[in-house]
Amino acid sequence: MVDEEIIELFFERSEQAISELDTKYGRVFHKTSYNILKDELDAAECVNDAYLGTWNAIPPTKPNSLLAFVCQIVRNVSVKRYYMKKAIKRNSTYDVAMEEIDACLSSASTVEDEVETRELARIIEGFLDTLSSENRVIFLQRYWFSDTYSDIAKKVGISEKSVSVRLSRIRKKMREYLVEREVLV
Amino acid sequence: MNSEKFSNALGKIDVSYVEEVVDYKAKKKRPQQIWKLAVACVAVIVLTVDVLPLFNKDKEISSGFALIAYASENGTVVENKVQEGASVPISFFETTNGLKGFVFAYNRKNPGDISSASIMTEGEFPGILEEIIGLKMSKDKNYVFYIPEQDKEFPYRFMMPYTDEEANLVYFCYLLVEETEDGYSAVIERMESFERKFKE
Repeated sequence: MVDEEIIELFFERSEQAISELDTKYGRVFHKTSYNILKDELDAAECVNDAYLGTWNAIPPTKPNSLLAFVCQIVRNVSVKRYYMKKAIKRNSTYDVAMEEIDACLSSASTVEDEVETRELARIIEGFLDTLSSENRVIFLQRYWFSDTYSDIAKKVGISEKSVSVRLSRIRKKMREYLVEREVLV
Repeated sequence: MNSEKFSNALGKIDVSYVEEVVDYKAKKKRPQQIWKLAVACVAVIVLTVDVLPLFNKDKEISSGFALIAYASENGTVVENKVQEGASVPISFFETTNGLKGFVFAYNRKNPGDISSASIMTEGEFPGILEEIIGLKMSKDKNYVFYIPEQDKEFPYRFMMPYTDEEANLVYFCYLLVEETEDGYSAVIERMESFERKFKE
């Protein structure tokens, strides 16, 4: 079933919308959540919670890309679950990915208390706009989807070594961008 | 700021960025080329006179050939001498007609030489070499603009020949260009020289 037909089912408030969504994209949603949580049960629960969130959002929202829209909900639910379960053992790609970001962003003093999350999101969007399409995809695959270097390399069509080098360079560039905008000092 | 705040903010970026990832399709790559000793295509905009020598490797490698690689650092063009075994920074430059490549140069030495600029590439003929943006070319040097084959991955290996008529030698300079954390680097992997048996 094409996305427009699934969205139409949501608008008709037909429960078939969820089963069609799950049939078409369930594996992607589960992988996105599992990359963060590294727990099958938790990932399944988060995906189900995301389906409820999608049901509540559509309508009135009519997303251009159903996959991207629901992935965003899955990620946010999963990240929230992750930080709630702080006791989770460090073994997920998400942990490693965020440690890379921590090393890039660490600073003795910051203005983080004064920067709202949404404002920071706009700043991050500004940074993403400075990247090439390929580098933007590499960056988001790593830090939004928490994908492994191997998966990123396969998707983009470059070597894992190139992925590592590119991400290192992008993180450095991001730090400079954030310092210029006084998000970091 | 820490990774948690960053991650939360990242979760709030516009969904169009996520769509781009979801819809992204990698560019098709041509099969990796086996490293070649000679380039497939060279275009010269100013003709230099030379004669193909018959090679006879009698002599040890001697100096006389100094290769320069150009890098752009904070908007300033920097010349770095490329040496055997020691990498130097190098940058991509662009011409006014949209060609992108690495720039090398060496001093004109041969009597009667005209300063030249040539393109070295393994792919299809890319077109005429126009002005290299940001680079002021000197009449005392010969320039080589190396254009990597499209979609070819790093590292790039290629050979640059150089004739020293005074010393009656031909140099084969085997170069390696790699990606680094800060950009790119160039190094001479090895140099070979041959005595010219035939000269004009």
